[in-house]
Amino acid sequence: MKRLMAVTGILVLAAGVALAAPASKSTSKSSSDKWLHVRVEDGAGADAERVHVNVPLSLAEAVIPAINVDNFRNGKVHVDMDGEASHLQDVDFRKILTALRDTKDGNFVTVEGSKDNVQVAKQGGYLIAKVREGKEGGTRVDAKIPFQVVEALLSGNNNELNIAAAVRALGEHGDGVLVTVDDEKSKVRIWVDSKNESE
Amino acid sequence: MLNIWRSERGFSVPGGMLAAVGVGALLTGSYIYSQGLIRVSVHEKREGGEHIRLVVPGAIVPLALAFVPAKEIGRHMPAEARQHLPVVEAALGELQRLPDCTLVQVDGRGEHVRIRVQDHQIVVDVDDHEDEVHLTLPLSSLSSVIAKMGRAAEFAGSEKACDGDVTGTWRHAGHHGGGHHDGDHGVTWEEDDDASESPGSSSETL
Repeated sequence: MKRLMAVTGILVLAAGVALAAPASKSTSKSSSDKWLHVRVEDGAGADAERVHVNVPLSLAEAVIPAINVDNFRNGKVHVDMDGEASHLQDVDFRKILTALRDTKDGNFVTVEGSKDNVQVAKQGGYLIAKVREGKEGGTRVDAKIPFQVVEALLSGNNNELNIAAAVRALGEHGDGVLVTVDDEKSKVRIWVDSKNESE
Repeated sequence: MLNIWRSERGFSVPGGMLAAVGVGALLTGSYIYSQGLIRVSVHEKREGGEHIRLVVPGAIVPLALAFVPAKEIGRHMPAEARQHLPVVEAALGELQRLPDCTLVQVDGRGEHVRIRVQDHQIVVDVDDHEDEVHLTLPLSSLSSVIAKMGRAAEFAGSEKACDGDVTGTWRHAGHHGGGHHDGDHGVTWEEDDDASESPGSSSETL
């Protein structure tokens, strides 16, 4: 009888361990993942709308290749060169990118208009773009994209943007602010870091 | 005389059985607890509005799904669901690895939306002028649903293949083929060579 009880006990414990296994497995935390944060603030005061989006890049990496909708397939966006973007057909972006990468840091494009200023530069491995609309209080756009991300983005075929590769490259790159947009009414900030909450 | 109800050391069989049942109940309870609870709360703010509260153990979901034939689900599965299944599956796999975090937070005038991961559950809170909705879904329960839908989609694909009206089929990982694979999540969509339509558009005749 004692043996019977022992066997019953072992069976109950084994069943318990088997049942508890999925729970213990699910408690494993993610490794040192990077997070893409987007913060949008529209308006001011009590009427302001705030949107915070925090996406782990690992999630984006996993999901993007699974999306197969219209021009977005296997992590790549197909740009229709025959349609509205036909004027892009004659531009070899890869060659331009290679040329930019191999040159020294500096300003490539500076447009100073009566209302708008545009500046495109290379600085410390980053492609930097600055747009200023209006004299004061106008829209200010600052983009600072790592070159390796741009390279990854253009790593597909001629008429493709490799989003999946760009996200992967972003994850491999260090923390930093990618895009900020400021105008009178709204603010947008997109950045990458290792924190899972935006601050 | 032999006493089956009490051993020589004073150990009673009914007592032992009761203990075993108790341990079993304890383990079952801890399993149900570990699987989390599905909570749905909807509160209509208008006068006389409904207030619905639903709390169901997440462990019931795989149990309930076991009684629903995958073939039957596949037969009624919308084309869009089949198309987006790999995306959901891939997202779910990653969400289960995440620590507690807020994924989306929207705060407007009288409107608040928050989607977060907490204790391996997806928690959605919506509070606007009209309704207050709180939803908690254990990711493990969602996984069970998606796995079942994956099998259902497989059936749907094979049925369409039998009808000779197919441009692709769902297959679990491990099979060979040149289809679109969603990584480690076990389902693959394979397009036939002459097929140019997406899985969704191909199955509109379902």
